[in-house]
Amino acid sequence: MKWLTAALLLPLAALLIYVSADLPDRGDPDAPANLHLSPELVEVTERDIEIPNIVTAVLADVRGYDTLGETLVVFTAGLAVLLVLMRGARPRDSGRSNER
Amino acid sequence: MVWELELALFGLLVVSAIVALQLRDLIAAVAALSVYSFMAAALLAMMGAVDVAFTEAALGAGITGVLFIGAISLMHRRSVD
Amino acid sequence: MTEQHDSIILNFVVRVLLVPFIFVFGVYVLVHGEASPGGGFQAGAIVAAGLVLARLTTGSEHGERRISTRVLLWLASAGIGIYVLAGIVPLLAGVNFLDYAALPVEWFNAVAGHERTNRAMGIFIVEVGIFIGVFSVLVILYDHLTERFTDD
Repeated sequence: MKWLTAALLLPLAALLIYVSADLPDRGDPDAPANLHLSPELVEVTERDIEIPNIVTAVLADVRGYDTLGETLVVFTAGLAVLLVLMRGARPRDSGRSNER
Repeated sequence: MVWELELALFGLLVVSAIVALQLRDLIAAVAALSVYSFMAAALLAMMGAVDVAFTEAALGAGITGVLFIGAISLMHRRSVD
Repeated sequence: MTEQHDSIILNFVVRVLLVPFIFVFGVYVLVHGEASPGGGFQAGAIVAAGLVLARLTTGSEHGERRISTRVLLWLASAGIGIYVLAGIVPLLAGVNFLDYAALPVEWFNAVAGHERTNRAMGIFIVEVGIFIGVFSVLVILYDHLTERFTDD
């Protein structure tokens, strides 16, 4: 079983490494992502928001909906964990009635 | 000079990930996972994504270790497979 | 719950040297998030890490009396509420949801004595909401994962 997994995963790794040679270089100004979207975001940040950190501007303003959803996900996850962990918990002032 | 450092960080990243998978003691695995997170944060910082590196260092290497150990203490310490 | 440690060195280093520094650094990351790397998520994680460190050394019971799960749940909801409010107030003013340019925060420029756009101010308000939410959720998670230590 272990050899089967390796035999499946190693060609996949080789394929991914081979394909990654075609990706644009890191920070390449001619990469597609840097050609039409990034200049606009830089311009909007400089003109309308006037803060130095473009990442924060994009995260909280341009993609505000996204960050709202992200915060809600964190909150909901915390709430779900709380509900699961409190299921077997004892009431505040009674004795040790826990099954563990 | 930069790419040698990055290569070393990548090597440590892969090694710590494999170590975290192989360990039977889950608390030691959490420690290895923290090392993994820290290497990832260092790599992200070298790539220029400082905000992401910040989040990874604070959440991945800081909080999740404590939360994982808290979760492990609620169950068995050794992994069985 | 975790117990208090007896080591005076550990107590001194954590409570006097580390935790105040971590708190101040977290707030710095929050308020400086517009100018340097950082923001609500990171600051919340850092301050929560500081509080978790304090609870690990002084014991949960000591800390939970100061800031209980009930308070933390209210805080988390208030964080989300700040964010949603920053979205709804522009909606009432007649523009899009989360359009910070319509937030009524111009008076703050006169108070603080600097010039900032409404959108920068809106970003800061939203970051504060994220900070409170993430911080409370992480501390709630820690509290309830370690709650049953004494039972087994």
